[in-house]
Amino acid sequence: MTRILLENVSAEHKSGANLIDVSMLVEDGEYVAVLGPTGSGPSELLKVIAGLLPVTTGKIFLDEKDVSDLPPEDRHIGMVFEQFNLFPHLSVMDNLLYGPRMRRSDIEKKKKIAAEIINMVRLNGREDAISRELSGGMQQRVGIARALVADSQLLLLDQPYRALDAKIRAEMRLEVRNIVKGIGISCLHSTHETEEAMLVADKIAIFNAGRLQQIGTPEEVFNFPNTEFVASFLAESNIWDIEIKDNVIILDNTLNIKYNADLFPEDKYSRMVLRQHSIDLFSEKDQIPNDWNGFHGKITRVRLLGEFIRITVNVEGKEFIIRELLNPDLRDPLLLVDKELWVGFPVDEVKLF
Amino acid sequence: MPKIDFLNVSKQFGRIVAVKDLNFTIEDGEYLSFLGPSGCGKTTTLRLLSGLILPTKGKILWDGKPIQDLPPDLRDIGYVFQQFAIFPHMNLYENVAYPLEVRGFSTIDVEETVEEYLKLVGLENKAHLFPRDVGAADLQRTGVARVLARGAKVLLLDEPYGALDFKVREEFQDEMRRIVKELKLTAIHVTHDQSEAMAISDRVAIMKKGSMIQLASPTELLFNPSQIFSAHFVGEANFLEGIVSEKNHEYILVETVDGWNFKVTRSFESFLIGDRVIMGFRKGFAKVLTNNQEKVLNIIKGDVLSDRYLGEKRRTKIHLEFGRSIEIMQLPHEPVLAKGDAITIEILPENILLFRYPARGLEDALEVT
Repeated sequence: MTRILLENVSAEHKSGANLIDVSMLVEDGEYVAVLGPTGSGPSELLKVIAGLLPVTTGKIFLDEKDVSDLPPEDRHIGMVFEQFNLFPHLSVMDNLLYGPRMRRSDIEKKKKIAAEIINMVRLNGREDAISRELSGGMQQRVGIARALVADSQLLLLDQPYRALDAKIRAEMRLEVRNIVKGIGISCLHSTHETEEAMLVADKIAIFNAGRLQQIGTPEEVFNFPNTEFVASFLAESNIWDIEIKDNVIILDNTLNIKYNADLFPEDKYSRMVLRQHSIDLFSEKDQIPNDWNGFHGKITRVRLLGEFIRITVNVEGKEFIIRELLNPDLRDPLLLVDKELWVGFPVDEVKLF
Repeated sequence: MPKIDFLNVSKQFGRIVAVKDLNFTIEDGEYLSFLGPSGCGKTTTLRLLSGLILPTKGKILWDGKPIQDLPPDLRDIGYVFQQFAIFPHMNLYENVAYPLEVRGFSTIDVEETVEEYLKLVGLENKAHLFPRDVGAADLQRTGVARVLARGAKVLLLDEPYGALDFKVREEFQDEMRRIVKELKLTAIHVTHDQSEAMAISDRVAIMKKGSMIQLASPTELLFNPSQIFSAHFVGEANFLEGIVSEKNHEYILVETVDGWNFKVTRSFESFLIGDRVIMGFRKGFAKVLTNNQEKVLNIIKGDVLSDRYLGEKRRTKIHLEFGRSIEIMQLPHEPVLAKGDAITIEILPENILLFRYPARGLEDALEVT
């Protein structure tokens, strides 16, 4: 178990993806998801902590020890990559024991630990299987098991499920979180996917253009985003330029939108973010709760997304995009086009920046 | 706008059967997607149609004429790959013009055609730029323009948006569908991304281990899947094993192995009392009941294993008797439940999917790889 502290860390990756002045703390045993678009910093952050990318300025502490200039092999960190990086011709057990053998560790002792971890990652009975013959999900579990057998103080998962099919990815996410939490090892997990981050993490650190934007529990960052970027990256959103007059938002000089002035007390806001899932559809105006915003509109487009449906409603020339969880009431979603109805959303769902 | 038929088409590589006994029709002007996990045979099917590989057995008909032995250049097919296949030393105009020049088009014809197709894909103002100066989406647009300028009637798209960022990918999906419909082309698209397949396709073919599991419209696949694997792979669903215990004209009753009884009112006609069945329901279609709602039918009771708040929804995992578990998706407004809390859910009769018990068991039917 390890506490990780980064103080004003900057780094430059040859791809042009940088880290800029990152300061953050990961407590003992915490599972932190590092989230952001491609090249915005999550993978670079993990590489810097692992020692695979040098810091240009700033310091990294594992517990109280400054490891900023230590080589990767002296940091006792287990790293799992997107591409598994197993020895394809070796068995599961030999992959797990490769590192300890190189380091001339006590192999008999390590075999016992490996057997326990194989059990934990549900690969029992597969100890002698050649790793290239395993499915992608199993190979990734071998990668995680290998990192754990190596006595790592800290586990870094760099986009660990990206190469896996969606269904296997969905199964692995909570499974691996439970293993990691069961061991109690601190873990940083980089990803570009909001749902993955929300599902696995105790805390989420959100990056944009190399800078840490916000860090907090999934509930905190989702409900109280501190920038427009965080608000819109965590959930698909309607984003509009606005004016505010007398505590009312004026959108395109036509729509007056109520908001919670206690949450946004200043008068300097110029942008509004309204998450697509926060908007509900109503067939009658009087179904909309009194303290909500409500507008009459017409459906112009419906797009099926699998477990979600996206509906575009034209309200006095302005497009409201709505994301609905697939439900039995939407059995013929494509027939909704041209239907007139009401859109409504709570004032607390209006976020201003 | 040809119609294409696959008749008993199989392809083997050595002892490995890549696709087996494919029988389906792609209609004139249809946008059809192949969806399935890695290794399911979707790209092999595309390559069979393009002529890059030949079938081991079976026929492929193009407007009724067999083409399975024709080389690729004699099929009016354009292939769009994920990796763009753009010449880096030519500007975008030259990239689109190249195949026309090789085919001996006159300079005027080349100019007119290239301009027409660059405009169609929205690159008319970027024709002079080189590949290094534009983003991935414009490279892919160039690839599409080049294929269309050659006069392809059928467009094959193999994970064409895999290299594009999420937002760009969606714009591109819409654009591609618009182009296909505007030019009245037939498009066959391979993807492992279900939302992409759902959003762009007239019909989606679900593939697994070289076989076509189901070919249906996106709404049919979501609300009325005919196969367990389709219900599992498209969207998210739970499955429980049971036996038909009662039947009349309006419904049947299914008793699950855990002892819960369900009334089923959809697609039950062909089932008989005593049949072994799999009952499925979408994760978002279950309703959590409060304590005062005492019901006997169509409910499941269990303990909360985990309840994760995901912002726009919650995933609640429920432990049932005999060690099984299911997962439901709920709207995020209600308070998060604690591990161990008792929970009762209801699934209405019209929201239950019913399948025959698969010959090789449920686990095999659900297996993704």
